[in-house]
Amino acid sequence: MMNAQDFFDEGYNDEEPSTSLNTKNELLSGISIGSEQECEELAYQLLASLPRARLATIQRRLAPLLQFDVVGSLPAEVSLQIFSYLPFPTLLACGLVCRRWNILSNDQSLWKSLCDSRGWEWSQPSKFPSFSTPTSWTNDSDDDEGMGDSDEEAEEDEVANALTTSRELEAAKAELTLMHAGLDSGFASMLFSGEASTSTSGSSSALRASVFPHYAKSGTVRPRVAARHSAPSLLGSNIGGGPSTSSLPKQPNYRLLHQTHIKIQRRILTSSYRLSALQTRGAPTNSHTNTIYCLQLYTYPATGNQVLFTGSRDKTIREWNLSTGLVERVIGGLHLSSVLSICVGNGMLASAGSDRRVVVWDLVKNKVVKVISDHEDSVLCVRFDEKRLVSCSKDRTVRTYLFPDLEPQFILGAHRAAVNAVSISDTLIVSGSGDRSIRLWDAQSGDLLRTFENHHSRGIASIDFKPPYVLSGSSDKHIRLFDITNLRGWSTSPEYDAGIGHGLLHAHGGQPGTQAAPLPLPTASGSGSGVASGSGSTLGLGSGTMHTNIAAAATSLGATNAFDVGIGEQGSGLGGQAMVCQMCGNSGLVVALPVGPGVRARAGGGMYNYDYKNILHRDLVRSVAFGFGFGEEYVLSGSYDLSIKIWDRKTGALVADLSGGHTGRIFCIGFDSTKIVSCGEDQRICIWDFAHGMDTSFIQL
Amino acid sequence: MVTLVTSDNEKFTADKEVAERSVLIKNMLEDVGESDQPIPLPNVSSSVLKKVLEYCEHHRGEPLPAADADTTQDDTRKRTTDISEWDQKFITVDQEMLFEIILAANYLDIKSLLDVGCKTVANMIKGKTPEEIRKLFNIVNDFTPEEEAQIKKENEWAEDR
Repeated sequence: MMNAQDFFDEGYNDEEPSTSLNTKNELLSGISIGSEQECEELAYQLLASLPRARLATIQRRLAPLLQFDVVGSLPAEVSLQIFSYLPFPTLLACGLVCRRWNILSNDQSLWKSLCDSRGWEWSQPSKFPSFSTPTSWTNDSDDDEGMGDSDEEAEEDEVANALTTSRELEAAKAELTLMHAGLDSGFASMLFSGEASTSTSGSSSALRASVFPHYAKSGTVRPRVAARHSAPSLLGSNIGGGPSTSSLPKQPNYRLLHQTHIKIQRRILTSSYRLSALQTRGAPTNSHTNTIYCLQLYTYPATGNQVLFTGSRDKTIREWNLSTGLVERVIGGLHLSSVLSICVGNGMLASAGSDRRVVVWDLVKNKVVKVISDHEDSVLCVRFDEKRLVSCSKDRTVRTYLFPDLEPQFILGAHRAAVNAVSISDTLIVSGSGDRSIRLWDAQSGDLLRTFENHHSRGIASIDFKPPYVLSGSSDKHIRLFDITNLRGWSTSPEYDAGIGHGLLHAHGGQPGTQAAPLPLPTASGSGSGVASGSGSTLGLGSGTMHTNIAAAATSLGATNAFDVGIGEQGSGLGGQAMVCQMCGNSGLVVALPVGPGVRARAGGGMYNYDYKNILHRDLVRSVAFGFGFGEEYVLSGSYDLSIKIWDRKTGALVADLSGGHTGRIFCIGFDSTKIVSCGEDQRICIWDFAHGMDTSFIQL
Repeated sequence: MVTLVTSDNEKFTADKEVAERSVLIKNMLEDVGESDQPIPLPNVSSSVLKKVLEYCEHHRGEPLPAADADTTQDDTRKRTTDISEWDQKFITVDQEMLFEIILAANYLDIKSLLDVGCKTVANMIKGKTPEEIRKLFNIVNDFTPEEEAQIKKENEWAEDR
């Protein structure tokens, strides 16, 4: 019980001459009447008279006295600020330090800000019946229909060669498309506009309310929930009291929300999902009777009910109740042939078909808003936002229409083959074509801002766009993600990942050193740093004078529009140089570094191991999407190879590989924060549920 | 020049520009108007004010954050705990001084200094186990074994990461 140090100290007292002892007593009595300052001075004098060895001992004894609970001693709002810098695992550790820290670390404001940073919103649970599992399926026999495309690929290759060798042949290629005639549809970029939750009862989950009423500071966001447990006791029933089941009304519990999302992410990382089918061939009875080309999840803002819309070769669109797994509505008669693409939002549904039509349907009034039949061939993809509707077609054009009357606005012509996919974001339109190019258009002027070529070796089948990033899937079986301002990003193709157009760069001549110094360095700043920031701020990342100019022009015009302006400047004024700079940008492309062990080995020198080969798509990538809601960190792809893959958005590393759901080509995928849905050739609609068995009633879908 | 008087009755003079990095002092000066009256700072000791003024002096002329900048826009940046080299050196002090600086920055309303202080403490905590944190701050574990077990159980979902 007595350590050496104590022992020595005892000894010291005993040995001390009595005079000293008296002095000390005098000193001690002096302390009680003297000021702190005087005591300090006296103590110092006393200490100074001791030999160094003693002082060292005393210092060691004193050291713990100088350590104290800095965090817990500060005003609560300052403690919370300290905690606001902590990642969640450390925050959980803090909760185990002591009671005071436990309360601090459970403060809702901390968890809310963690949720906010990930885009996870609390959605007040509605009182609808809980989500029931859609009908489980049985494997039905595979009898593909109408998808014979054995010679399609050959034709396409021929086309591709022709396109590269001779432009004069363009006219002769009117019919060329990378897609089979019957499946020339496209990808549905999921537009999530729903505000509401899934229908689930507010089931019992531990509600850890924040108890932090002591310090009121204006600047601090104070969680409303604090009022609920306004018990003056710092601890209340929070600790060790077990989960308190609270009934409605449920207050936002961001700690729970965060926890639930993290759990779902874990499941994504471990491919832990429950697979079920909304429809299998022939079941339920009024299901689609042919290939399903497109789908989109949609949550009605008014009721919070989430539904799924699907479009099929059977010429109909169907609306599925996800709770019951039944068809709620059949929208027929809009198209004379296959429904190739749909887009749902703002109470409206737009559909595009091989009958060359685009039909806009009012979901509430249940009637046609407009039928557009301007395209001269199959309409392969349709998208709309609040301002405009955009469609693209096998006729090689993109057309835009303005709300509210959907008057024709522009015909965007430049592609040399069918335009398979289109995506919009505010004032920008991105289109991908069988001519292997991706084009960026100004939606307000109709100008072609930029053409991105040499990103895929074959036609572009799918596109998603979240400025400044474009994600593309191609007939070359690869996925490419790049920043349109500097072309940085990644590709699953070794050829396009390591840097595109080195030869052309050489021709540029302006930067002789660039090629001599390749970029095997871990300059992760390129793809990494820009990811979280807005479009404006990424402008400066570009290399080369061209990009500097853009950035300068953009900044001078204010931050909000900087991005558009910059691109516009380049496209219109400096078109000739743009190509060269595109190559510069390519040369500066950051090679993704190995991420998970074994998942993907990617070295700068272009060495790839076999694991890497095995994880790639083995067929055309027909559907790609940025995983908003589902997880900002991810991008998704669905392929003709029957698999859905989830990739790390920053590095391009494979995160999850989902297969076994489909027996035919996957044509379209969709998702929300808890699940992925997919459909395809096999007439199945699969639901890959990553939140099975969890209460997700408060998660915004 | 502005004269400041600390809790231990020491007088400090500083350029107005330097002293006004404290929103509290700035507001006081505005209220008082042009005056040579010393400003009492009863919550700040001389040793701490010396440090604080050193900080303000070094950062003089830098733009001050907007009054209500601590909103959503700031949120994304909030997570980073990067501290500039000079600030890092400046804030390398013992726990007591760190504590006093944070308190003073909070009282004097010097947001950037408060941020530096808070980030420094956060960096001390980051990645540590509860036991390591207790040791660092000399904190007594006041949970009952049952309570501790309960919290650990609730945190199970976050394991293996």
